[in-house]
Order: sequence, then structure tokens, then C-alpha cells
Amino acid sequence: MKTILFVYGSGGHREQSKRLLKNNNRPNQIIEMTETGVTPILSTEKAYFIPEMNSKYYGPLLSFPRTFFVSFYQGLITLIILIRHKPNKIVSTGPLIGAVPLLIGRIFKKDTIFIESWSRFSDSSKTGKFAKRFVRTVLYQNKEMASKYPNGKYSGRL
Amino acid sequence: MKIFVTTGTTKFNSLVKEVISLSENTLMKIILQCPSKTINHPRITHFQFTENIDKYYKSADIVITHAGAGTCYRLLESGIKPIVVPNLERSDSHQREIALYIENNKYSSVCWEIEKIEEHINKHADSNFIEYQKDDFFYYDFIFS
Repeated sequence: MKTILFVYGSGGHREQSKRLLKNNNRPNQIIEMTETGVTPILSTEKAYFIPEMNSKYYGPLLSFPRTFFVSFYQGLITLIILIRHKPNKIVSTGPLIGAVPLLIGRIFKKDTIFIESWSRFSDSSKTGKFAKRFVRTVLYQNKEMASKYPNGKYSGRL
Repeated sequence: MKIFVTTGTTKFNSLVKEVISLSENTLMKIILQCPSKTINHPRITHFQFTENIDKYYKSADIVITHAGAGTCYRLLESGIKPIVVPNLERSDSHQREIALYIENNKYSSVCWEIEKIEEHINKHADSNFIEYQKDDFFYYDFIFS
């Protein structure tokens, strides 16, 4: 049995993680990290919530420091998850919420997987541009993205 | 005619405005899902969120949707050909990308100019679209083993 931390945001990012988790036919322990207000896919008991990273409601002046503090908070939560649950893998379907846990996971030599969004056909996401530098595996769902992820793997679409 | 309009979890004010205007000029029955708390209009049934959105997709004659990937793929996988309206009010470009993908592959119709939504509704039933196809995800073992 493995412990896998899934990190995802709202809307389509959650839907992609949901489709992944629906196909988990092994007795893995799944931990979820998502945005405050988003309903966890499997269980609220093993879910951690992070405030939305780049909320536009706070305006351009406050959005950067807010992202910085939320990232710091998320880093602490990620460390707590690493100590408490000892995940073997960290998987993220984006968006920005995936960046910090993947980076910390890589530092602690965890298996890290970033799955580029299924809506990307011509340009990679900001999180993808950042995460491809350090994650162990990048999966992309549209063949058109091959040139953006020369070391990534085409995975088919969720 | 029964029309279901969905904007997902993000606001799409220009589409909502056009839908309200449409309801005032036609006899179409319109159901609208959008995150606004209230849409006070006598000819529009509105809700913010439902766990069972498929029910609304299936009971509508025409579905009008924002170009959110999750919604578009789900509709196309169900064999429903929606009128896709990309939300160009958003700062990121992924709705444009999905809309182009759907349009270029002739999976359904895309309405780039919101004020032309009625034209799209009128010609939608007579349009020929291609059945949506995809390579299914094949990395489940890699992720879960």
C-alpha cells in the first residue's frame, strides 16, 4: 500500500483528479489538498485546505504578498502532511496550488508527478513551466504539448 | 424550446446579460447555472450549483456552456453537442484554447461573439458535427502502483 498526496484546485483541475481517483483500484491511502471551499473528492477527514492562491478579489497590490503568505502557509501544511502521513508520491493536476507541495516533495526525495491540464494545447501553464524544472515526471494530455515538455510523457486524456 | 446555460464556477457576466436579453425576446424556456447569488428575472430559472448537472444537460434541447474544459469534455463524452461560448473575460487563455480545439475538430459549434448567440441557437440543430474521440489516459498504473 502506498500513500499518495493529491493536490488540485477547483473546477476542471478537481475534475481531472476525480477522474484519476476513480480509477485507483489499489488499496492506496489517499490524502487530498485543495482550496478552501472546494469539496474533497474522497474524504473530508484526510483533506487539507489552502486559501485560494491568486485570488483577484484582493487587487493587484495585495495579490503578490497574499500569494507569498499563502505559499508559506501551504509549505507548513505540506511539511505536516509529510511528517504525519509520510506520502510516497505527490501528484498534482494544478493549478498554482500544486507548485509548493511538488517542490517540497522533491526536496524530500518523494516521487513527484505533475499532470499538465487537459485544456492546454499550445502553451504550458505557469505551474507547468515552473514544475517541469524539478518534478520527477510531467505528464501531458494533448500531443500538441510535446515540444513544451521534451522530457515529459504523453499520457492520453483523462 | 428548452435551453440550459452553464457558466461553471466563474462569473461570465456578458453571457448572463445576453441570456437575460434572449429570454425577453423569445419564448424559450431558459435554465441558468452561474455563481451569481441572485438572477431576478421572471423567465429564467436560476441556480448556483447542483451535484446532478447531468439531469439538466439531458433534459435540455440545447446546452450553452462556457469553454471550461471539464464541462466541454463531459458534454462531448455524453454525446451532447453544446454551443460553446469561450469566456474571454478571464485573464488566462485556456478557454480560447479549448474553444479552438472544439471548433477546429468540428466537435460542436463555438460562439465567439456573444451577441450572435441567437443565430447559433437557430442553426444548431441543422449543423453536422463529428463524434468526439480521444486517447484514453493510460498512466493509471504508473500513478497508483
